[in-house]
Amino acid sequence: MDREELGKMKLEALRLLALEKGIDEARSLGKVEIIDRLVPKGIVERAKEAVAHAVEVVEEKAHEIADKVLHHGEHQGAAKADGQTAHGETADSETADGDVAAGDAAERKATVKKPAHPSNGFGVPSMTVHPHVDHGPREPLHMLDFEELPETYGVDECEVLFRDPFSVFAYWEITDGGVSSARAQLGQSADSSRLVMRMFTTVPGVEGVDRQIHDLDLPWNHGKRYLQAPKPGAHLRVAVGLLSGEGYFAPIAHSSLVRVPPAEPQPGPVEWMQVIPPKTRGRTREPLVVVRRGGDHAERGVRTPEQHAESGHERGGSSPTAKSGSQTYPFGGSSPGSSPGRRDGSK
Amino acid sequence: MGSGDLALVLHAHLPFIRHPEHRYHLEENWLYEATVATYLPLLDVFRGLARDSVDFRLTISLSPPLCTMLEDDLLKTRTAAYLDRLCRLGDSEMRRTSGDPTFHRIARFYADRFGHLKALYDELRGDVIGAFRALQDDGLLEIITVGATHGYLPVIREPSARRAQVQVACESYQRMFGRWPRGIWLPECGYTEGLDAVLAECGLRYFFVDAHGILNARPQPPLGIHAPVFCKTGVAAFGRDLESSKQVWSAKEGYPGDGVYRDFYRDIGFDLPLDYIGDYIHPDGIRVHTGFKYFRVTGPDVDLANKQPYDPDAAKERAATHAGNFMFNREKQMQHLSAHMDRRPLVVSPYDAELYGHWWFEGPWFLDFLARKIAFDQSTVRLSTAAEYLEENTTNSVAEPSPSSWGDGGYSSVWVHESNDWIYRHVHRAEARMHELARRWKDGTDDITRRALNQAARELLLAQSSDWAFIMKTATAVKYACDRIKTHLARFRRIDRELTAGWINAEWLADLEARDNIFGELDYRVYA
Repeated sequence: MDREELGKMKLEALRLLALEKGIDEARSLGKVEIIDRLVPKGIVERAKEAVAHAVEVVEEKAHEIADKVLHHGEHQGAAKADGQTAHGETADSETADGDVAAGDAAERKATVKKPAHPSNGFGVPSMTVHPHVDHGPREPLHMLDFEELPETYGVDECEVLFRDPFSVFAYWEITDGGVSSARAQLGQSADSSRLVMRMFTTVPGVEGVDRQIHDLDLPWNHGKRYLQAPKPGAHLRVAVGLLSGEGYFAPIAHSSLVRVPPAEPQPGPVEWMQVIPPKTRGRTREPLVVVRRGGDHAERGVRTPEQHAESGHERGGSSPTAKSGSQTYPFGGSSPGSSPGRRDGSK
Repeated sequence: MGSGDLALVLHAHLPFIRHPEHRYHLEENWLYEATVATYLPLLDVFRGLARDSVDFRLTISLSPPLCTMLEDDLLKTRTAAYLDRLCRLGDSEMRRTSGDPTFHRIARFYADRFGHLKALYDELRGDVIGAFRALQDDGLLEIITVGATHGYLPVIREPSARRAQVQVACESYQRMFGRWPRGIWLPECGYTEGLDAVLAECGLRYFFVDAHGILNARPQPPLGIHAPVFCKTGVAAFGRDLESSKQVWSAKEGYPGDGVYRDFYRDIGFDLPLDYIGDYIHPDGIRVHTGFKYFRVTGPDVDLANKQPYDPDAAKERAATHAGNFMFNREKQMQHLSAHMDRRPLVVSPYDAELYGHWWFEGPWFLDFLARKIAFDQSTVRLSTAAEYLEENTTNSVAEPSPSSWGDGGYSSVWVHESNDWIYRHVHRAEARMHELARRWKDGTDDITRRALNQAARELLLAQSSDWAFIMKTATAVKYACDRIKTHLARFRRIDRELTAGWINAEWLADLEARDNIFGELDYRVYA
């Protein structure tokens, strides 16, 4: 096959072909490079490319020098603002909160901003886009898959996920703009305000709905926390905002509503429903048809003690090799905590 | 005498792992190992039962990533090559053990077994999915779907992203099995409030939750976990029966821990010298399981060095005994339950499919014996499925299942844990962004933009797989899991930037489409 024919093949097929030919590094090469290995270019072609490449490198170097000259002062200022030195190294400065918990310190260490353009070994940022170039980025294709996740997204947000009946996980990020808006809401009270995460919970009870609010001070403008859920089964939402000394709360972002799992059975009036089964037994998609719903369904459900006594059934025993314990509640089971669950490493 | 229904449910899933760029990839091997240890042996059992006209019913969930991998030409070729290697190793082992009657007998057992499985794979022409489909078409299996990439639904924030996990799974199922699924295995059995509405919208009729999902439902269902409940939408929720689950699952009390059964950890991939086993393990010399395991569990506290030789015949005999014991307990359980109910009780026993064969080598034999014993040796227990139960019992109580999962602890603590919680803010940003992109181009667009949007959706779906968080929590292949999430999100973000800039690198996009080639028919507007 010549270069033209190889050029029509998909990268995956090219890689397999190259691997078959013993080019082990093919798995990390791009299409053009693989073709180069399979069918080396002629000397004239290579000479032309070398000249073109040299011109490109010189031009790029010239742009780089011009950029440095034009934006030298600007870069220095931005780097300092990001907690970085002019050489892109991280400055490990102390903050006013010297007494933060060990967890906070670890978290902060992990969230120190990274250089804007991690080195890719070629001396230029991997993800730099040159709008004037119409032949696309020059990196091998696989290089485009590697990119650290951003530290922040420049948004005001917070979210909460339940972990179990007693705890939830929350994360947040706020921007300077969000803080400014909240300060504006608070007016003069803003000077005494602090950043908090406010948890709103509603718990339906016998005497109506119980509403609770809990505040947690936040030391950073982004991070994550595990919080104690005020009560299993509660509906819960969190908001991040400024809380003034007078007790006014100006929200910056709020989460969606989640329901924390209940930890125990929840009694209530029983309703019954009839749903018509599909006529085609699954061969075609049929809509759900609910034909009846209500509480008057006396013939259904658990047998009465009288019916039970009439039936004369007792719980059966187990065989000599039976491995399960006896049940105390006819329709129940053990607590979720003892659920056999999945085996570690089963996937 | 009361009688009842037993619904055995197997959940089969592996994350989407396909690395055409590597000739050998450690994590890609999971598929080959599971195919040889679980999927083919299970098919062999089911086809045997069908051939012998044994009246059995079993529900199996086949996740879209697993189905896609089982259908993929490259992976099928590699699976066949894996089986060939096992057969070669079988021959080699026969020669190596020829002077030792005890081990030679076991080597012969493996050589015959892998030869048989290779013949089955060849007979199916590698079409494992087609074989499962045929069993469903014959009314023996009920195949249900799973979330598109096994995304743990309680941690998916964006409503359209949650719906996409379900809708894409259903569409994938329809393409594979020629019909719309009736039921779904929620990834990790993870339920959260309001999920039933998504399932109803996607045309699904039932799902499963762990026992406490029903026992703590609101209001508490009068029939407990031995009858389904209808959510307000009319979608039915079935609860896992703990008693029968524990008999099989529990490492201490369960059947798989019996001393006669094969030990999983002693494997010649770790035991034999590199110059002998080198061709059958990782090319870099990393030792892996080969499937040739010569020892039995022996006892609960016996260390690896003191395990005793495995006896396949004795193990098969024990599997038959355990099947009888399981059936006996279900008979007693049904008699007890039916005394309290006005209908046939239903016992739902779900397990990871990979437990059968991969972890518990004798598991497929156990199922075979169980199905035959239930068909011929008694009249109290009937094998059934959730769908059949709903056909016969159209009226059920109404309740909102409790948020729950079948993971350790019963809730989200496996997937929302200090080791993996960093995932969520990034995935949530991608979910929200995907929704915005789909809304922006909801009326369609040009071909290259459409392809880019579809690929963005694929990358998001792949990043959502619950397997990555699970791996981080269990500290197994952590680097691989972290890299996968970061890579899919990086790809997503790059596509997003290119879409925003109005310039799409077509060559790179084509490369991505070839690599992450799941859901070829995906329409990004599912996120609109």
